[in-house]
Amino acid sequence: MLSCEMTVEEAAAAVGGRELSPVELVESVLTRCEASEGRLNAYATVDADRARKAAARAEREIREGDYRGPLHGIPYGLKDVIDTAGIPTTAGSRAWEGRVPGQDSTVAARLARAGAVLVGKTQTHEFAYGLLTPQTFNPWRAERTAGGSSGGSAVAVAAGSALFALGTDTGGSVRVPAALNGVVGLKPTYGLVPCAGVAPLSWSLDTVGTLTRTVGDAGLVLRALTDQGHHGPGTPPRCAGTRGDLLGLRVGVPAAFFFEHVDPQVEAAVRQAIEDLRALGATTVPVVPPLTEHMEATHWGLMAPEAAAVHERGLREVPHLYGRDVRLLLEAGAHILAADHLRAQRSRTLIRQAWLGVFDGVDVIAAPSVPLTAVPRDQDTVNWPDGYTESVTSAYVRLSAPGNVTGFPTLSLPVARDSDGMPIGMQLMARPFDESTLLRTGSVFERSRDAPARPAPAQGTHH
Amino acid sequence: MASPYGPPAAPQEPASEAGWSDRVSELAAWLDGILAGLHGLDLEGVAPSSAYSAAGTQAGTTDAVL
Repeated sequence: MLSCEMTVEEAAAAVGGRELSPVELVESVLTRCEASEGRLNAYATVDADRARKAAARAEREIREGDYRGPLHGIPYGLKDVIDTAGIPTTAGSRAWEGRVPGQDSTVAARLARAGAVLVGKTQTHEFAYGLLTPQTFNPWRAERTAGGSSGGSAVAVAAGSALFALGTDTGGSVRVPAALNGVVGLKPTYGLVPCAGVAPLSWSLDTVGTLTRTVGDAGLVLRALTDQGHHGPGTPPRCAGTRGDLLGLRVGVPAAFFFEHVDPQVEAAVRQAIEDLRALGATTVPVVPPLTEHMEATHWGLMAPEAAAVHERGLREVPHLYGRDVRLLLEAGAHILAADHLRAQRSRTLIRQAWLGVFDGVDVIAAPSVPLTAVPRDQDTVNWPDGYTESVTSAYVRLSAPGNVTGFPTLSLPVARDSDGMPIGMQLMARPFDESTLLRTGSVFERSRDAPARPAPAQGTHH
Repeated sequence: MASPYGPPAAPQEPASEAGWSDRVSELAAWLDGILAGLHGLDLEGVAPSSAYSAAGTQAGTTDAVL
C-alpha cells in the first residue's frame, strides 16, 4: 500500500513509531497529486516546496523526540476559503484573484501547531455559495458531479492527494461532497470550531468541518481543531466494531421527511445501515422530525440576506468578477426584507427547541446524507416518480439543512455504493456538543465493515 | 428621507447578459415565495437567534466533545 493511501490513524502510528518518515509520506501525496490533478482538479494551489520543507521539519522534530501528536507530519488540504499566511486564498472567485492573506486562520494555525503539513488549497464553489464545485471532477466517475462547496477537499481525500482536509458547511457543503465522493464528512456543532480567518458565507450558519477517509480520522482532526493548547494530543475512543459495542445507543429513525423523495437505492442502503447499527447493539426508535415544512424557508431566510450582506461591497465595486450563479443569488438575497430575516431567526429558535426535544428520546438520528448519489455534471433538475421536480442543488441541500438550521453536529459516512458504483452516504445527527456519540457510533459502524477505507480507484478522464 | 449611505446598488447588467435585472427579480420573487411559508408560524414570544445565540449557551471544550 502506498503511504498516500493510509488513513490518518495508520500514518500517525507509522510516523509516531518512526517507521514512516513525514518526508516519504508527503512525497507520496505529492506524487499522487501530480498523477491525479490533471484529471480531478481538486486543488486550486499546491505548494510542494512549502510542504517538503514542513515535512523535513516534522521529520527532524520527531527524530529529536519532539513528537506533537497524531497529526505531526500528516499532509492535508485546506478549502480555499480558509486563510493561510503567504499562500493565495481566493475562494474560487475572480473577485479575490491574487489575494494572499497576511496571517493564518485560527484553524490553519491550530493544524500548524499540531505539526500537520499543508499540501495546498482545495477547490471550492465560488465563495462556498453552491453545492457543485464545477471545476472539480468526481474520482469515482469523471462525468459525475463532485458536489460542493467543499468539493476539492472531498475529492483530494477520496483520491489520496491528501490524508485529510478541511471544508466549510453552511448548507451541507462538507456532508454533500463527502457523500458523493465516498469519504467521511463531519460538520461539528455550530460555534465549536473557530471561523476566524474563514471567508464567511452566512455568519449564523457557517461551520468548519473535516473530510477524512474514516470516522476515527475525523476524531483526530477535530481534537486538533478544538485543542486550545491546554491539553496534550489524544485519540478518540476506539471500539472494535463488534456485536454489543452500541448497546444502549438509541437511534432515531425518521418516519417522515428524510426518506421522502429519496432514490430507492439510497433508501435501501441507509435502512440496511440502520439495521447494521441494530445488530451492533443499538435500539431503533421511530421519530418524527419536527417543523421540517419550515426548514427550507428558515435556511434561505438566514443564508441569503447574510450572504448578500457579506458581499455588499464586492457586488457594488466588482460585480463583473462574480460568477453568474453566485452573483444572481447574492443580488436576489439583497432584496429580502429585514422582517423576513428576523422571522427566519425566530423560526430557527423554534426549530432548535423542537429538535432538542426529539433528542430527549434518542441519542442519534440516522438518515440519508443526500437523496441521490452524484448526478451527471450536466444534470440540472431531478424529476421524482410522483411528478415532483426540484433543482439538483435543492435536492442536495434538502436533507442537510436541518443540521445547519439547528446547528447540531452531523456526520456523513459512506455505507454502500449504488449499481453504478457511486458512493451512498448516511448522516448521523446528535444533540449539540455531543460529537463523541457521533464519532463512537460511526467508528463502531465502520470497524464492523469488511472493506477498509481506501482512495477511489483512478478511472475516467475529463475532456 | 434619503439614506446617508446612498441608494442600494442596482443590479448591473453583465456585459453579455440582457435581462439580468429580470432574472434577479425572478429569483427574489422565488425567495419571497419560500419565505412566505414562515408567515403562518406562531412566533409570539419567540426571540430571534443571531450568530451569537445560535452557538447556544453550552461551552464546548475539548474534553466535553471527545
